[in-house]
Amino acid sequence: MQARLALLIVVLALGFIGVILAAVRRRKMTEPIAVFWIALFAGLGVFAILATRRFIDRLAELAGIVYAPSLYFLLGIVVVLGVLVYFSVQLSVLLRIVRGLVQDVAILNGEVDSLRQSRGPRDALRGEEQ
Amino acid sequence: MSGVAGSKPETLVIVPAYNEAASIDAVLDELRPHAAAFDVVVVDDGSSDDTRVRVLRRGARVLSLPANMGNGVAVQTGLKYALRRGYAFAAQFDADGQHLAKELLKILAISRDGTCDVVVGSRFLAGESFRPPPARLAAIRLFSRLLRLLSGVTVRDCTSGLRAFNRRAIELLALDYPDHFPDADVLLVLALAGCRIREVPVTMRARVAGRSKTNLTRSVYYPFRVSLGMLMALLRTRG
Repeated sequence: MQARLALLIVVLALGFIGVILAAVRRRKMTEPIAVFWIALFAGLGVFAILATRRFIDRLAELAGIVYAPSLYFLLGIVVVLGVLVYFSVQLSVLLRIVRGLVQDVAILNGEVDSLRQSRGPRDALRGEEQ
Repeated sequence: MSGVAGSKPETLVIVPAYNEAASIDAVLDELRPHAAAFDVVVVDDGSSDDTRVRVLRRGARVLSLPANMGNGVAVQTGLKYALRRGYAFAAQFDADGQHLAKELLKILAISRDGTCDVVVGSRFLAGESFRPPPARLAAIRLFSRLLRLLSGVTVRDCTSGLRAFNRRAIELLALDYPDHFPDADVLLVLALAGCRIREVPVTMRARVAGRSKTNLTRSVYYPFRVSLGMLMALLRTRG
């Protein structure tokens, strides 16, 4: 990798890490997700520093890629797909939690309705009229 | 709508309802004469019509999900409620008016005799000419074969919504229940857990009002979703 390109990638990676740290400081992002992103960008920076042109050419040859720079695109797509899978898992976990909470809310609201009904039908419909 | 004062019924009938304002009154009327035999709870799955208000006006119990979460979440909410309230049996009864109270009583009687954990009301065994649309029929046959292959249990009408569960099945399903199209995968979960499933003939009628929620997208997605659900249920058991 050319020195200028490596420097550009390192600067971009540091910039993204800075944005993530600022988001965590303002409580816009949680620490576990921040750790994931920081590790990803740090890895990208280290790769940019360590990956020489000969190394990339050799890697591309091993992968059967004729045009070596295509390897960057392939690696980029793989990383993006990995990130998407990671967030799909996170989303599913959150959905499961939300589902449980929604069910609890429904059951507790049902208990409130039952209490209102025990006071009379007018009380039972009070919540609907408000 | 509940049992005789002073003697709490040991059975809860769960009526999952999504935008069923046109039929819910008739369904509650159908169940009301049997109030001594079971309690009824309507689980309103985030309806945008006045399903919830109609249920409350009739003095029936309603659990309202804050958003439309799917039939599976609605039924599981009812099962969790049954578990927390200590009911020994629970039954599922559709809110579109297709199910008959006399058939519900029949499957509940079988459930109470202790010979099985789950009772499924079957339209195919009733000797009537139940003819679902071809795509639906193909899906039912596919699920039925998958169920037999994966668990050795034969249920011909594995998409029937008229089902009764004993306490063991309630406990299992309160923990794990599919979200969207809970059909044969529910039965597979139960069968793999060792529950005894029995299928009995029942008659049903056409829905009282409204339209089926099935559309082209759902028709295509449905068999894949349920088949995947069945496969995952098997892998979880093996794992």
